[in-house]
Amino acid sequence: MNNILIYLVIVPLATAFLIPFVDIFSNKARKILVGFSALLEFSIGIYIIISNYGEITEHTFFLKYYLGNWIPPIGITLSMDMLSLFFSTLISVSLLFIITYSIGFIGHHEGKYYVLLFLIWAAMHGIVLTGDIFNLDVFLELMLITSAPLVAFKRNRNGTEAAIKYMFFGAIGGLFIFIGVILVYFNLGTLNFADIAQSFSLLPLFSKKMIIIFFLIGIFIKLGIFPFHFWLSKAHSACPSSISALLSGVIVKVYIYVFIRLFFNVFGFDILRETGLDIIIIVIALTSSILGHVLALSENDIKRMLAYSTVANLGIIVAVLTLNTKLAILAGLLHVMAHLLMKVSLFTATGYLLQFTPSHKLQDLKGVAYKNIILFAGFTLTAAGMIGLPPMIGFASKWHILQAFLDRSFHWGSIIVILGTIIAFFYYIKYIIYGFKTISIGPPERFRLILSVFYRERVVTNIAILFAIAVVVVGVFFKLSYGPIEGAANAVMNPSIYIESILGG
Amino acid sequence: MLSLILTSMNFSSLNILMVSTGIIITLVSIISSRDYSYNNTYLFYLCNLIYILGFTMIILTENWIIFIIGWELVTVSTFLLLLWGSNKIARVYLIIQFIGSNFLLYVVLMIMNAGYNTIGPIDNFKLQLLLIIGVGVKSAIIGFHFWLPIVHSRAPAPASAILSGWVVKLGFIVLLKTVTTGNILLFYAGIAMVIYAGIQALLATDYKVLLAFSTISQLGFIAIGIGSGNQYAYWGSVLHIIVHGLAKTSLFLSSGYWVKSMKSRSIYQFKNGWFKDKTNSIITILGLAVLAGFPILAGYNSKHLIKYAAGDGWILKYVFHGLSIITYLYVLRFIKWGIFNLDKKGEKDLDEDRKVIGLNALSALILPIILVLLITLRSNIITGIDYTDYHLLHGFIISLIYILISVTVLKLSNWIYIKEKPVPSMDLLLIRIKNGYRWLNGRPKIERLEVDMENQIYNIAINFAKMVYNFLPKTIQSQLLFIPVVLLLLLLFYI
Repeated sequence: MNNILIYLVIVPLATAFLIPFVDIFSNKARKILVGFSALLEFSIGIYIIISNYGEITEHTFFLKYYLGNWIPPIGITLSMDMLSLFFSTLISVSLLFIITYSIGFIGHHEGKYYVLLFLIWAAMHGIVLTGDIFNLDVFLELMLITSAPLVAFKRNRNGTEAAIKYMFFGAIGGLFIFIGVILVYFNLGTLNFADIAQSFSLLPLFSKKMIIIFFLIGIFIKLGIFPFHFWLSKAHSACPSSISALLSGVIVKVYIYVFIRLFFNVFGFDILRETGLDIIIIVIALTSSILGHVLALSENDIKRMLAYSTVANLGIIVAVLTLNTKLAILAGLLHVMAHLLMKVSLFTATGYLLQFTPSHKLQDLKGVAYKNIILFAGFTLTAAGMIGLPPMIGFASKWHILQAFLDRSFHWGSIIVILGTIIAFFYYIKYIIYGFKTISIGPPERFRLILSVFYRERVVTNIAILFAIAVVVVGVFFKLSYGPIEGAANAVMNPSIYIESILGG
Repeated sequence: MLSLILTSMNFSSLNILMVSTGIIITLVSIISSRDYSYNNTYLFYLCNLIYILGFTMIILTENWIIFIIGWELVTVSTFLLLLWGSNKIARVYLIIQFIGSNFLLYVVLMIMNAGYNTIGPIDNFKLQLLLIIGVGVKSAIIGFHFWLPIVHSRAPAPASAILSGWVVKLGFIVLLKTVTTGNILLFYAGIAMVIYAGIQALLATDYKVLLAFSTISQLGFIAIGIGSGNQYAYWGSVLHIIVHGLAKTSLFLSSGYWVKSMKSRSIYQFKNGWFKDKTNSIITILGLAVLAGFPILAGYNSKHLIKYAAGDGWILKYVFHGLSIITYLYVLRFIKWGIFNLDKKGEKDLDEDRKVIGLNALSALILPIILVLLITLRSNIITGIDYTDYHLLHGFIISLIYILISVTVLKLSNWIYIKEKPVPSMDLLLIRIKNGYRWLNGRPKIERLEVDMENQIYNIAINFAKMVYNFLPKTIQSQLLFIPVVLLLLLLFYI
């Protein structure tokens, strides 16, 4: 029993509900509240790590909390193993900095913005911590409902269209997951992860396959894997850049967590392998990856390009994870971290740069590097990381991914990864070359004055540069992140630890 | 990371030798670069520093990861060095090198997967071949050499000195460590490189193009030495890597000064070279003599070892004599056109603007040559062969015969005076491919491209990507239709 877990969900949830009340009194109080809560939530995560440091290094870390003291499988269990810890830390760190970025970036309707952002944070932690499949579904829906208004935050035609599309696809994906939950409950009479995991193999093959298909399609729609990727580029590009960073960097990783937790721990990977579904998943994911890269190449809009690159990278992550060797899961989790850092870095930098251009189009980005040369250098470094140049973190993950594919003699996978990075090289260098191009003063009507609206410009640039530095520093010292990632991979590979820890205590 | 780098390093005498040669080459080119008024000098020095770090990692390490990181550092830093010249060439270089390094990464992982966890001898012929192809793009092994004359001839002189003098050798240094027992395909590739690039150098009208092709040709000798698997030929390759690196650096740097003083790159315009710039002339002749392998210079020692140890049977022996003559041919042709294309009238006219070479240039040009001479005296340390074993008298006689044959051939062919050719570029390459295709279809030739090659490839890629994009459905109704379709497919085939 550990009370601390519930605070990870309650603190952001309570902040979200407090903000409107504080907003009535003063703007300043709200800002203080937002900063304070973000720091508090972050420090809870730090506290968990520090107080359990010994167990984390020995990979035996496990925390659990029974809501209302209902012993599983009856009540809802919140639990945190190495995998949850890994994702929870990533969420907390990136959200803290994204909120700091937003303080300088978002000026209007701040109240609503932070309410939604904290609700997303609560939902994400809920998903990562919960041990109940219905609860998981609830949090997934909460995340969808709260992120959809943020997609439409710019209140223009493009944003609204994207949000409607996002809602449509997200709701249908949620529906599939919900049907899956119903099927699980009617077949097994339980909703607890550990309990399901124990008795799932006893089900008839047909039911098992049915349940897995529904969950798989649901998660694939939410992840934007081909052929369900249509909503992603629109949704991730129409919103403000801070939200793009959140959606493309963090939220998709939470869906990756759901994918790992459900298919590796709850249902067990054996059923996928026995029925040959793993090969199908790998093929779909690799198709999605190469298609994402090709579509990113076709794009003329920098944010849509970054969004398509997310599709490509998610495909790689899913494919690598599905290889189901220890090396593969390590590579997948490393790439989860790498892609999170790099995408947040790219989107935050892009958010700054796009304030000085009339549109997101490539042609309008001419000479944008000279607005802030250090920030653009960071953008360039991160882009180099995305194509796997050392010493950026992208190199470490690319190396491990290739190794994982070759380890299972899956040559096609590694060839697609390499081909993808070569295509990525072409689409990133296009923007970098344009960024460094010097502008010749043309007819005056083409260069209308663009007023940048930053509320605190220094905060915005500093956060963007900070993420770029993180990409390099984590890349140089990536061996240090081996320990926790290895622990997380252990947790994925041995579902029995999870089952015993929940039911046996 | 740092501990990983340090623990994986092997400070064997060979590695130390290679690293120090590389550092000397870099320093010399930095000294020479001071004669070119570069802006952002500190950035230039920083790039050089990263480059030194990169190749030090490649040469010293025994760990494949560090090796790949080193390659990428070298690629990126040399790309940045090229940016001080022309952006376009730098871009072409980066694109080709990036594709090459991705292939190398794949090959290295294949090798690691086969159980070779550290850089060392590889017994598997297929893996050897893969590695040779992997470093092929970087080290311009025949078939992947197309970019070298383009980039090396258009780069600024200090950058091309680094590229031609050392970067292309890095691949062969790796091959030295891995292909220890020889590889017959590498051997024949080496012969092909010497012949093909030698003839190209012989027909070149641009001095830097000549030097670039001569680099490929000399790399061929190194490949022969490694590919033969013979112990002495192997040491000959080691020696040739060092000697050629130093000599080519000096030659490329001097080419920069030649171009400056002659205001042209065409060798036919190098009139009265001897009168104009005696220092540069002497250094150039010395450098070329090292390439050709004239006795008492270190080039003779390395070529002697490769020539007499690598070949078996009388046919190969004659082939090797032929290969040596090819080098002599293009070297003598350049000396004739470039330096001794004298004009008695010109001697008087030139009195005022006689070139006095600066201190930077002097030290940059002479240092490598002095080192080569030193290596000549002490090459027994590297190769473990006594100095008397080089049969100097025999070498003199053979070299004189080579020179005699070469001069006769050149004299008969009027010192190969041909129409000036354009400097090779990617566009020219594409025109040649297109004309070949048009010739097959019986259509008239084209003279120039409407869009340059880089943009053309880009357009093809982007048009293909746009085609894929247009192929996918646009309306939300049709996009949503994929969900039931996939569900049905999975239900049909999976359950």
